[in-house]
Amino acid sequence: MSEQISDIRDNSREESVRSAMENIALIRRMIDHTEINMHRLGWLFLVYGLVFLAYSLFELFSTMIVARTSTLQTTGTVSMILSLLTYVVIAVLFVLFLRKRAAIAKIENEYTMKLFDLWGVMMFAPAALELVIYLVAVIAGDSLPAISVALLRIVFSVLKNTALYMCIFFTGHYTGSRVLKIVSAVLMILLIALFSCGISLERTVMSESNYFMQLNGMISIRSTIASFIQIFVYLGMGIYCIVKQRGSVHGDE
Amino acid sequence: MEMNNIPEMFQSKLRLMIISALIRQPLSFSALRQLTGATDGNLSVQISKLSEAGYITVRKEFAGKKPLTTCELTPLGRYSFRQYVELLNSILQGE
Repeated sequence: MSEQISDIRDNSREESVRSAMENIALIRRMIDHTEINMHRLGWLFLVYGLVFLAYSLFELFSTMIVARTSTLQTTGTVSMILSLLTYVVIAVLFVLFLRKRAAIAKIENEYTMKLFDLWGVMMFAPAALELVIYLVAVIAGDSLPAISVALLRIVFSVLKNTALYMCIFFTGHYTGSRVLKIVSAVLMILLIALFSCGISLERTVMSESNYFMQLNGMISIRSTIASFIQIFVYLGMGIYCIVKQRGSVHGDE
Repeated sequence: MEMNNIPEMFQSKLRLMIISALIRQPLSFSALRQLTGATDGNLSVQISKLSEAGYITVRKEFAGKKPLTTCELTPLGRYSFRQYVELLNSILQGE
């Protein structure tokens, strides 16, 4: 009799364990389907940041070297070529982004994809707009004062950086990351300080009457600083997202 | 502890799936339907039960002209879920 009771207890125990394992597997499956895979975003940020870091350093040094050693006209030409090269690089990155998106869309949940799409727009839409501004400036030529174009580019730079920092804040909110929210607030303060200081940091390196050359020869220190901040923001975001791996609105649990 | 001690709200697989899905973020009715594979009627019934028990809140609004129902886990629901997961772990560890 006692053996029968013991057998019943053992069977009951096995049943409980089996049921517990099934329920835990069910819970895990549901959570996996709703977690945001920040690892995907991390690699996107890193690739974007590294490509533009390499490109920006190359542009900075080559323009400085050419400006010191060559004529103003050559400097402008080099700057123009580098500008056009930017858009080629961005176009290639965009194609790679679309291919990556198509690949991960089959395996990731909609929440990860929404965040992936948001950052896709953030990374590539400003470049498309910049290209439009650039082409308008080139087509308008001398009829458009250089200072107007410079102001337009500065305003655009401010808007682009503002959008970037808002995206970081939103990503922090969506994934429950307090770190990202704090980083976005600090960056916003830096941006305001950078673009509102009273010192005139713009300088034109050539006095050519040719507008096209003026446009390409103009160096904006603030925009350069903002660009490098942006690059390091992407690299920092990349490392952070890869380390964090997963995100949720309610934080890590 | 035994599996027959589990709270009533976790005794249904569908309710467990709903609560698990809501752990990370609030979800719409359609997202829950897609995740759980449940029918509209069955899902509505279980959501109502969870709402009456205070485990989730249900918010109804309009996205344009389309009605949008969003479910979110309450602190009570979150706490109960943690308790339930600890129960499951204790069973697996043989306590």
